[in-house]
Amino acid sequence: MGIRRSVKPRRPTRVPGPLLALGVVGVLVFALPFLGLLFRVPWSRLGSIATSAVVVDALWLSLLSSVAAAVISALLGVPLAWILARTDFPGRSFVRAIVTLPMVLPPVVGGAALLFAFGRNGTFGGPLADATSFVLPFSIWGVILANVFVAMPFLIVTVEGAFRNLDPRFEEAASTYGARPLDVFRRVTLPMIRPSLLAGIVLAWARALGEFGATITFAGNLPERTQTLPLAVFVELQRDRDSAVAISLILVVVSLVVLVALRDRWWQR
Amino acid sequence: MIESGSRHADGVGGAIAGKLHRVVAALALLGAVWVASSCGSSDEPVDVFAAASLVDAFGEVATAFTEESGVEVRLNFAGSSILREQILDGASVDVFASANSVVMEAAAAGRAGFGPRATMAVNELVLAVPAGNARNVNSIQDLADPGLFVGVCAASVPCGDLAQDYFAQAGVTASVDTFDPDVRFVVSRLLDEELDAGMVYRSDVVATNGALTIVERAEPPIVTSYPIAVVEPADDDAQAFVDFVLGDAGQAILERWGFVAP
Repeated sequence: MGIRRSVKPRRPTRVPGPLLALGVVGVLVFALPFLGLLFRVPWSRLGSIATSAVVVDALWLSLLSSVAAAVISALLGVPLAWILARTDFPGRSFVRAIVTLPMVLPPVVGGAALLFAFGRNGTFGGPLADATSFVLPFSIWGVILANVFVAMPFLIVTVEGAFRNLDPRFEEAASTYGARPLDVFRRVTLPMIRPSLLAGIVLAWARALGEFGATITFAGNLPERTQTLPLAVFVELQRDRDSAVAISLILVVVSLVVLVALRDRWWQR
Repeated sequence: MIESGSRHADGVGGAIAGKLHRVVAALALLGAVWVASSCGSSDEPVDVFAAASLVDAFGEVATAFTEESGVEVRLNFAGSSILREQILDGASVDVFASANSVVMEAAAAGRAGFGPRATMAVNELVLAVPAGNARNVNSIQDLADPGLFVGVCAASVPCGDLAQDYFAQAGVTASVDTFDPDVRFVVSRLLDEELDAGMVYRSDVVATNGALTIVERAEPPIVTSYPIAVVEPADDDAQAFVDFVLGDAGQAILERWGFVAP
């Protein structure tokens, strides 16, 4: 921090009054709900709730499915982002719209769409179930698919932006020296976008961790199998407020720690 | 890059600040208009919070009530316990109709201004399957089969409690695949045939017009009474709506949708 400041002195900026006022209101929009949550946390019961079977099962399932979703998002999303950034084919903007649609779509709609496609009687899930007796809904695979559906767009958008900002001369140089295209991608392109790739993976992971609507619609709600932390919060809200608040706090803390840790990487390109 | 950007911003800073003042003023005006409009409550609609199982019946009741009285009804359907939490959190509501009295009394205990509770209907929890019964479910005992996809309500909503009562009475350990937030969630999964069997209300089966079939009813039956109450006693329109539900016209509609008179 000190070193950076000496290298690049920053002029103190005077913030215009109205900007400051609206900025503060903007912060309050986020800060007040979290404060409200903090005031409701049952601190004395926190330990016993956090170690209860419902929470431990849901936490484990949430971590498992969100990490799996982030990994799958990276495997599928990075090549897709590269293609979107580097090639020009007819209908490219349509493809980009399709793969980022879940960012603006209500997750419940996404869950219903998944059901119509991959449900036991879905357009594609039906034949799959007939042939293999493998059924996605009501299984952890359903949770992971729902997570990928809502989370991968965040990775695609982040990584595609990085590919676009990359100076192509480095890749051209590697090609000139005889590297094969896939090697150039693996050894030159990917390392150069590493910060954005990490940011994309963590964003996708965080989105998957908080996923609720598509999950409950597509995968159902069963403790130990499909009940992730957000679903546990929803059920507990109607049964035991304290418990719901405690689980929410766990979600907030986990997400906050990761986002703060990531923040530094984000701005250091 | 950053340097040139900030210089540019300085140049138009004044203009932006001027615009912001206008935006803030417009927002303030909007707020004032909203406050003023919410004070004149002469033709305010009646806000009715009703259990998810009442979706069809109360939709029709509301239409009939509006035709008769000219008073609009705003309906909010969800699992009874979700509605209870909304009411306890101070939601604006005139009438509450829940799927059991436990939820109703919990709401009434936590918020002042609840009128007397009246039982408006009785409903029964049944074992239902998609028409055709592809997996050949014949009794509640079949639900122990883990190969069957079974859905019930979460234990926090009335239909979830009833499902557990049903299982206990039959002495069966059901292999449940999803605990859904309200009964209509289970119904829609049955309609999609994502579930092979589900525990839903008799009225839900009636509402699906033959798309679902009742396989078994408990003996003795597993039933629940639906209480209804005015939340703000000062509101005449709210009381009129409750009276309409309890009157002949309202009761006839409820009966047509598979509910039984109390």
